[in-house]
Amino acid sequence: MPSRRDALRVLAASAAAPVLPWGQTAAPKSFTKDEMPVLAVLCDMIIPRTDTPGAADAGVHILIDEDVAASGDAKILKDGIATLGGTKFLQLSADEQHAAFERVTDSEFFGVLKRRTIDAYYHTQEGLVQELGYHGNVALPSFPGCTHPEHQKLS
Amino acid sequence: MQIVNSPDVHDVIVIGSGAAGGMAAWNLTRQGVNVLLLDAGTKFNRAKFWTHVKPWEWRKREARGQHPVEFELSPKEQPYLTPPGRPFELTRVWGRGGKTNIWGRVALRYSDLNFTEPGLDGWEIPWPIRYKDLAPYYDKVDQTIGVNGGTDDEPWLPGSQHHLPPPNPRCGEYLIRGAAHRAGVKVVAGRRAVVTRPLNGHPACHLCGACGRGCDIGAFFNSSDYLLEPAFATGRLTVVDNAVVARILVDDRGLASGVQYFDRHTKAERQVHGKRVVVGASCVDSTRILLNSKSERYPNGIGNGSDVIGRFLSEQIRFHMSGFVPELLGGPTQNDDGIGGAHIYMPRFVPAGGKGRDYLRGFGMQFWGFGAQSGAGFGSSLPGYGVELKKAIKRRYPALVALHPYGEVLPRRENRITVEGTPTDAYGVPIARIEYAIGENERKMAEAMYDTCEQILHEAKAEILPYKRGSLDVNGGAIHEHGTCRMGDDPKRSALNGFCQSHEVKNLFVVDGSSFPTATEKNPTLSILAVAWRATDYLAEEIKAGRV
Repeated sequence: MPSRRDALRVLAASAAAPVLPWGQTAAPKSFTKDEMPVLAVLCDMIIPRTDTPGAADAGVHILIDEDVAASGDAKILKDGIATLGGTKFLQLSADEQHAAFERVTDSEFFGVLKRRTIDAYYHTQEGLVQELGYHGNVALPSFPGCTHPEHQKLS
Repeated sequence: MQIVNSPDVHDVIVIGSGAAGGMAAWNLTRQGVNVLLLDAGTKFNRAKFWTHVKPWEWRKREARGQHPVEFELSPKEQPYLTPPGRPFELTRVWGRGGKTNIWGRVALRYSDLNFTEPGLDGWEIPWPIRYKDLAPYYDKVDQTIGVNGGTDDEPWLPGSQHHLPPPNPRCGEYLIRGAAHRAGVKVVAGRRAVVTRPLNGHPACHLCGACGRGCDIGAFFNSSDYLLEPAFATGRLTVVDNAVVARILVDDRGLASGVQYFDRHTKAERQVHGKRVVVGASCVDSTRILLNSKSERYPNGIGNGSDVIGRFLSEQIRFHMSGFVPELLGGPTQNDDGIGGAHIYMPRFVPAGGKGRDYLRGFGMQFWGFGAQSGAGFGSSLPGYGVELKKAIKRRYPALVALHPYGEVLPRRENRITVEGTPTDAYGVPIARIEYAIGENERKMAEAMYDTCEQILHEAKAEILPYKRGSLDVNGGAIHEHGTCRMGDDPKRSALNGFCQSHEVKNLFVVDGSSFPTATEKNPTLSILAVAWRATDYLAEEIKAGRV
């Protein structure tokens, strides 16, 4: 069975237009077709797949592509992708990728990638509902609030 | 440009449709007075609010080219100036109900201590009214708009016999209340203008927690549904949409005789005439209108012989401190929406008068954003990446607590709104310049605010998210502007009397937050409603008596 990382390599090789989470295809807005699969791998290194979907599963790279359009963060991310070798990054082994990634964790690039990934991922159904169990923003007949006496003590 | 002058002379012209203008229109029409209200926008369509659109659906809709109802006025449409390096973040809503469409719904009574404190510490002028003057109006406002909360009286926070039942606190709120108690700080039930049971035809809140996008059922007070709709029902209210007011007109007796406005879209100039003018366009816009209303009689702006209009702009300082309480770490994710925002409140505890400390006035605290939110932005502040980070975020997600203290900013003469020499807007009218800075008093108060937040979170044994002591929100961030057309007993030092009536122009009233001599530490909307109700009761009596 092909690994997750293999699947992302295939995506890179195909250089296809990204498939939006809602099934639509579109040309990327902020990144090149070569940069998109690298971004997907990097987002997944921030929030990987576990027993719940990871960032790439949730299409976070595509959301970031939209979010950073007309923002200075686009250049920071593109420069960071270039620093990591661009598409060559995808040919590295998992260990090599982590070693390369570890060398940039103090950079502005890493900060932007992490913040953008977290912001996008935890607003998707995969991140917010499947991972965090959010079930809010629904009409309810009553609000029980806290039902734990041990939380309600004053001293 | 064609000028259309309506031949009608209206009983009263009201400028603005938010808490202040809405209250004026409602209270006057129900007492038999005909009102023409000028609204800078139009009615917002509740059926189109995105109240129940989940974040991931939100993106799909936007990808289809759809957009939520936009409440906030863009500064591109109506700019304002600030000096370099001194930003002031101004939030305005042009349209029926104004900012009450998206307000935070915190509905706190001012204490008598708030009214008397300037007299005790001697900083600027005291209020010309006291709690006893407003108490009956607070009671009536509570019953009209629906405020939930406690009956408990705190020194700095009067209770109410007319509060609706408060919502049950969330787990994190109980834990923070306990921690505050151990730190010697009292936390009480919040007072919020959310209808927790049906009231006056408004349905009870259905607890979806997305109030900031506009309530699709009108279950929290907004001026349009709660005041203007009943005012329309009297048959005495006429509203002009998209009427961007430029100036108040003056007759040869020096009285207000009407209003000049421009159509927001066609830019056509219009004039309407009235026997009295009530201004409630929000602090900054009301002030801009008054200052732009220059005439031979009032070269400094209408009713501004004292040169106080535009001065003493006072807002509040604010910051945010977040953390995670140990009892909830790794626990189940609950639905923490409730009535949206805090169910608890920390009343001011700093005594009046400034004795025994190095700053004047004080602060209160709110606690919104507890537990399961529709996002996990705090994750960026946690170290690392990968599986460990993902686990760390999930573990902390149910345990989030957040403290939001608000501190009073002293009124200062040099903190001011002006229109002299500013560029003109799309209608050829000078825009506002806002020059505002906080001082040493606020920086010292901020230290005390940080101390209190740290004490509470330490007592809670909370893991505190990184913060920088002393940092504050950008000025204007609390959206609580006051003071630029203040009331007072001394006409040399104030623009209005205690009934919001201009000292100089007897048929001119200014009933929004600009009339407040101090910002206090509290959210002002409930007090704006009470003050505007009292002022327009007085106006209605004066009309009946033929004195104005």
